[in-house]
Amino acid sequence: MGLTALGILDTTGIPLIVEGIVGQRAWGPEMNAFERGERIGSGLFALVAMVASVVKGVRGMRGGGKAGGTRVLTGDTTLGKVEGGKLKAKDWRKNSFKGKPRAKANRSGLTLKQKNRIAVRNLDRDGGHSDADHGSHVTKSQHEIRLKTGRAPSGRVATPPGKSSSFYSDTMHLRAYHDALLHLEVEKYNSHGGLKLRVPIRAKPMRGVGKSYTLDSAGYLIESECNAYTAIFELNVATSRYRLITLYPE
Amino acid sequence: MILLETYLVRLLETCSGRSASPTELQRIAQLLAENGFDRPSDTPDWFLHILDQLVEARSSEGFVKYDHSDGKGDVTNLLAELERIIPASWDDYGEALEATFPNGCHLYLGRIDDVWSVSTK
Repeated sequence: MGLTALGILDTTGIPLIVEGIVGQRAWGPEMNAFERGERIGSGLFALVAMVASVVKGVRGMRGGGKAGGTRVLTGDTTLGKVEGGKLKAKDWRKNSFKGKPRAKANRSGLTLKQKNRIAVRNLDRDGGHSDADHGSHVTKSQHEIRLKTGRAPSGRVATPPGKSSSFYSDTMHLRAYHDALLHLEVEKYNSHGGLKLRVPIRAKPMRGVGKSYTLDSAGYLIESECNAYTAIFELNVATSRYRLITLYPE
Repeated sequence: MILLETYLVRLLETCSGRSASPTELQRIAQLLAENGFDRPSDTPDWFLHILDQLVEARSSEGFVKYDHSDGKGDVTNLLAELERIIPASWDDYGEALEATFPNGCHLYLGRIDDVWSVSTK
């Protein structure tokens, strides 16, 4: 029993350190100064290595580390299906065959670009349509259809607007969203200190955030650069939390 | 009573087909105060124009450009609160607010294009 415990403890390096300090092996003769130093050094190395591996393991289980940001648990990506924060094994293999350089990936197996795509898509999870109607994936022809028929890329039909816009990239989309959240914290209060039902964050400057389209008198599409964005939030009275209705460049 | 309040009471009475109750009058006055419409200059002219068209059931004959930064009052939140008081079919999807009133008027108040229109049946 004692031998077993000592064997397990050996992996930590602690018995080696103790032997070195005392100057006596557990099963053997006394040590000279050189042997004691060597014993203490080996013990310390084993102890540090074990502590480092335990810390790394715990961080891995928590999903922390340098990756940070939004932890993607499930969803479909351009590379395949994400489950439990990781790309499914078969999709990972499919996208990392020999000879092709693997894109720089984080712990979840997704590149920053893929993580941003999922984060932008998640902006619509409360029933909004910022990504569906104004995401960087919206095509020129989808804008034209919206302007001419009122059918938005999300499929919703309304009065044809005079302008339709989309973000240049998911990065710009997220940057605008995080900026809007900061403004929301200030602008959500009415002049009596109560919470507003609907909060417009109007025309906040952001250079090169996206592009907008209008129709000229002949019905041709005109593209312009947008240097501002607008976000509209709505209060859920039951939870006192705001949801994003829409966010678009203008 | 500022002009905006008068218009809102008239719109409420037009839509409900009856006189506004003291509670409703009090609520409208409270909403105006909460949303920064204390003085006549806090109300943008284009908003009064819209209400006038709605109350009189007149069409705007096309889209009218407006400046959303006019006036100090918060039109967006005021309209959101009015959805609970004025019986109409409201649809605010962010890029625009559209509402159809019992008198047959349809309002389009665009935010993405900064234009408004009132059309009648």
